[in-house]
Amino acid sequence: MRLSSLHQWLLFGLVLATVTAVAGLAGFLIGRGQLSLMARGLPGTPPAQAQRFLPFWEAWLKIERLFYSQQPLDPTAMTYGAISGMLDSLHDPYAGFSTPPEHQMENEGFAGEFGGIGAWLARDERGTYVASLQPGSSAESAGLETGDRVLTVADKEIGMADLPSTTLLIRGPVPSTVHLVVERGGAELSFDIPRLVVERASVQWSMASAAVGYVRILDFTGRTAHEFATALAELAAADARAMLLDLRGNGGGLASAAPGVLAQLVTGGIAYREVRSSGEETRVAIPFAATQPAPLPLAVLVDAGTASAAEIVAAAIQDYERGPLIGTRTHGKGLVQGLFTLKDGSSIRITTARWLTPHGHPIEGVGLQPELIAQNDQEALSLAKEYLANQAGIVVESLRLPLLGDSDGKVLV
Amino acid sequence: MSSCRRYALIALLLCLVGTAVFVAGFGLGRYVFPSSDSRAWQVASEQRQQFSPFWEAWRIIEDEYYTEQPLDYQAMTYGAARGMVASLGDPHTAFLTPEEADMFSQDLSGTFGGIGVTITPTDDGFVQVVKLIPGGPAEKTVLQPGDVVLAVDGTSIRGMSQNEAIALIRGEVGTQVTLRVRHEGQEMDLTLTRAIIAIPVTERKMLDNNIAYLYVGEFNARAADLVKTDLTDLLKHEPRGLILDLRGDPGGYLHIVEQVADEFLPEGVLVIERSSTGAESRRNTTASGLAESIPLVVLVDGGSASASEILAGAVQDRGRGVLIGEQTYGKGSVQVTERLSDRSAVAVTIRRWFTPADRAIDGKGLTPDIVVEYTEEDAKAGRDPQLDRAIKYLMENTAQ
Repeated sequence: MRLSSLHQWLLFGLVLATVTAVAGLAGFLIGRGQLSLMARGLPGTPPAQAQRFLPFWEAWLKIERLFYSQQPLDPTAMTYGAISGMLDSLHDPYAGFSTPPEHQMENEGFAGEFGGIGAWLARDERGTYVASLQPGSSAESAGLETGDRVLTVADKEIGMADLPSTTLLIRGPVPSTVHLVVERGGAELSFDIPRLVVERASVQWSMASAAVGYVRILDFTGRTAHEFATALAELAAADARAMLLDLRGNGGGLASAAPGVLAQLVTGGIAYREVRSSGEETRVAIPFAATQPAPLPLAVLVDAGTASAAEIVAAAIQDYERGPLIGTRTHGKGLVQGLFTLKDGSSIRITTARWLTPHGHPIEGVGLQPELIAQNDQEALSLAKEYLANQAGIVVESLRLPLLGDSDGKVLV
Repeated sequence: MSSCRRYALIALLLCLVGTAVFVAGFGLGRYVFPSSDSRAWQVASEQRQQFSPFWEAWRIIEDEYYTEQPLDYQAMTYGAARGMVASLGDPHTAFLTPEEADMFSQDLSGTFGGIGVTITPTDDGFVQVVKLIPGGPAEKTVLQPGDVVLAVDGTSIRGMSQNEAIALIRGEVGTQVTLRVRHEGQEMDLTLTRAIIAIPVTERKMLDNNIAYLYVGEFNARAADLVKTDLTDLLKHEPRGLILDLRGDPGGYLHIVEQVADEFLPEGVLVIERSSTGAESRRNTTASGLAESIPLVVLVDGGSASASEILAGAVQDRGRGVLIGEQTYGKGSVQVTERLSDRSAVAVTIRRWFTPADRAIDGKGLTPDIVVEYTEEDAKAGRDPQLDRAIKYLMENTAQ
């Protein structure tokens, strides 16, 4: 190790410079917090999004530090806001976010049953009132009456609260009891009402004439296929020789309920085709029905309010030439939504596919053109009467559709 | 000295230097140039836990969403930020994309590369020229108020928001923009060179009976200087009174209204600010203004907001003058706009403000001392009953 003095000093200088540069840079980066970030990434953030997502966290921090608010910030509400905002950015008209209680109601809506008291509630400018009672319901047995004004539920003031939040207070697990205070004729009455399983019917039926059975599907829930089977059996027992299916104003619901309904009208085949972003196509089959009903002549009433799952049923009937659609062009909702429950009980709903009719026709924005066009209900009924009489070889005097209860703006609790 | 001891000494020296430089670098990194990344990282772990549903939703969208275009992650991120901010329920706290943030700051600084028109949306989804700004590029063309802009540089603006249309029309100073316009029932293309547009912030004039009139349209960066110039000029006429017109003035910078208020108000409180932590601060005016004693009427209406209400509220509470017109807007909060690392921004409500007499402005606004309405018929007939009332007031209450 005998180097000249000059070489020694050069070497020393070089080492010193290197040490200074490395130590300085390391200190700076660690101090800045960049190394830890590089090592760990942002919390839960997909690595590909980490950089892009920084402004979001910066905005969050600025709000935490600066925002004027009487209440402490609610990180859960901010998270839900972020999810809603992200969904809005997709420009998917059917996308939406539901908080855990909203999602529970959504689920109960699709299931068609829930724990409740069997009262229909409505709301006007004075607040919430009992619009009607389901026969045999616990609300009826407890003595609740139509017209009662709901003051408190479980000791919570109702006031001008919206129907969904009141609904959530009244519904609950079975068995349990809910305490209601209502106002009737100036007096305050108090009730303890047991919660039982309440079923919201999605199918209504009756005989429309001596030989024509009438079935109306209001929307598609987990109970629809079963209710539809009951309807067909009862109509068959009443000696129906032709059938009128009413899908007017049916905005859909649970799409997976449609094949179960079709199974009772059409033999085999596919109910609809689903096409995903990737181009992958799934054919959804019509399940094999345990009991094949008699193939009665069929006509289907549709209108511009017939959408989604109702269009799936109507389209298959049309493609398989099971019977004519009568009315006006249907809504044309040919996009399928998926409902995804998140771990904390909230949910998102997004469009996951578009669907095509069994023969591969698109529906979105197009709708279904009825075989028999009718501009109004009277015209539609007379076309249906004529068609069914011909097909069944029977004489139909006139079709009387039952006056069915209108549930618009009312909620069953 | 043995060479062994010498090397040990050198090694020790290197260690010391290395440590010192490391500490210096750490300090510099931590306290002088902290990265926004590291601050973002420090979001409390509890909140990160609560945020996990978001990433669940994100992944579901990635896997399941039906779309013909690829996912726009940038839009999703900005959408999330917008939604998060919206959840606070404060209409004045907002997230701005970089483009929106640029436009926002351009508006407040009073200059931008544009063509010198103000526009309004039409019923059929286009925009219509409302006013030509004197000296602007548009004034030198056939463009007239009422003309409809159909497309910008070949892009139809149908269905765009007004802000999107503005973003297309504006651009770098000196560049050209071609507008497809409907002018007197005919469609034509006009090419204009974008220029710096001086928004007329103030307007001064001497009315009959030796009454001075000063309009302030916005408290932007140039407003304080312009008001000073205008006042100096108006006061040369030794007017018997002054009408300060703040109608339609949406506000602007706080430090600017402070300077403007200083010209009209003697020493005293201008506004009391309170922050969410309960901290309270007072902003004061000093005794050195140009127009601290001249009889004063302030015209206000439902469009007078924010900074305008600070000034009008102080004038009213301190008895400096009377307010004439209609109930003011009632925006009693203060925002700061903070840029984020990618040049997007958040405007955050940081404080609420109260008049010198401790009246909250937020949501309520100020009630004028003399309420005078300005109806649509007045507008059509070219009448200004509020200004007329102000003149009448000054005539009755001042001596010539």
